[in-house]
Amino acid sequence: MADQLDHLYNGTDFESRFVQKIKKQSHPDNYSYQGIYLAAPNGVLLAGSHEALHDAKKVEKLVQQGLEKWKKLSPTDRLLAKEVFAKAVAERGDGGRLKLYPEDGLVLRLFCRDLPGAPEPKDANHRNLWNMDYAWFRKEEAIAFVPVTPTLGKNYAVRRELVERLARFHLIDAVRGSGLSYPKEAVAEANLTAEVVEVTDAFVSLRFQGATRTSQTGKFFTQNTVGSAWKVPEVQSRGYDTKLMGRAVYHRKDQKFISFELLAAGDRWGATSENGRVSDGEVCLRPAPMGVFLELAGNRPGERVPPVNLRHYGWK
Amino acid sequence: MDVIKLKSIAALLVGPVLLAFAEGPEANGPKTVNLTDATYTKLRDLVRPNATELAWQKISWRASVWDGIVEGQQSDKPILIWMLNGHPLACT
Repeated sequence: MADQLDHLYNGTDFESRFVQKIKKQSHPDNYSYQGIYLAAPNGVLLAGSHEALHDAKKVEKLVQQGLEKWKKLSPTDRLLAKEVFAKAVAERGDGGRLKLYPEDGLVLRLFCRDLPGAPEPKDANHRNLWNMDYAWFRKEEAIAFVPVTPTLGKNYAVRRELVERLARFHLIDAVRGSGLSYPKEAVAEANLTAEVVEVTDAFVSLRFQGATRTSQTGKFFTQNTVGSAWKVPEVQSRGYDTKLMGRAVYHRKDQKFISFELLAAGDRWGATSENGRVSDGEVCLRPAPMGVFLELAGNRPGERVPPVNLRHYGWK
Repeated sequence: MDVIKLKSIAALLVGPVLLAFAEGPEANGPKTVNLTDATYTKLRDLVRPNATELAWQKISWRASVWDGIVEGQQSDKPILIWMLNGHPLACT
């Protein structure tokens, strides 16, 4: 399994205590929790490393070492006692962070990457980077992408709040890091039109076109010095100006999309503590091409990861 | 010419340039990339990772530590845990 750490560092629930126990056994003197670990379900560390994280051969060796240790443990020494497990399940309750997953809604996976014409990164570690995320829509929101009475050739405006959510939380500069969302007032434009290109009793096929523009002026950089060559202006602008295009097919009886893709392509600009652009120097303040592509996600367990900005959706 | 004057001139030149950046580019749509019907597929395929880049998805990862604990406990198997500050399966 794979997981993000920010909610686990200081948590007191069973899952957090488990992670803290694993890290303490692996590298107690290193502050970072990031790493690869092989553990028994009761929290006994079999093998673990912070350094092996980016080296497949080290990970393979670590797994082999861990499996050797696993074989030597009796079930009593590697599994949770029944009463402890039962208590943990009861403590977990209704599913923790993943309970908001929209089972009958629309789940998109998203990729972002710089496009040709973007400045070559000065730091070699920043070359060829891309990132991903998920975007969630509940059933009533997913249905809102489709006209109530679709007529061939007609255009319909998708609800602004849905496009605005995309602009604020998903059309962000996360190519080199987890990105920084935008406040509502930073959204200067957020429109998406769905044109009906085919209608049958079973399906509605749509073609999307639109545009978004987010722009915000402020202080976005907390570590203000980069080497001695350049300092980020204390107050600067950041933003993303896009055109949107895409297509989707909606299954009317099942009330769900069977295909969906949406591409945002446009100019990003600005440096933030999160976006890792500052190492390029002042060129990062100028518009440069970046793309964000969203498509229908699968339903494997690993594709139920909450959107990085889910907490800002306002869902309860 | 004294140094102070040179610095003043430099400040006058640099000031408007930084101010222009601070306000962001003009709001007339993107300038550095042109998304049209003709460029859509090419741009989409530039952004979307290829099969090699997504090879790590061949492993049937679970999305949380908790899911791994439950499955490991019920099937008597060890748990491989991959932890990053951002979610390793999504936005890192």
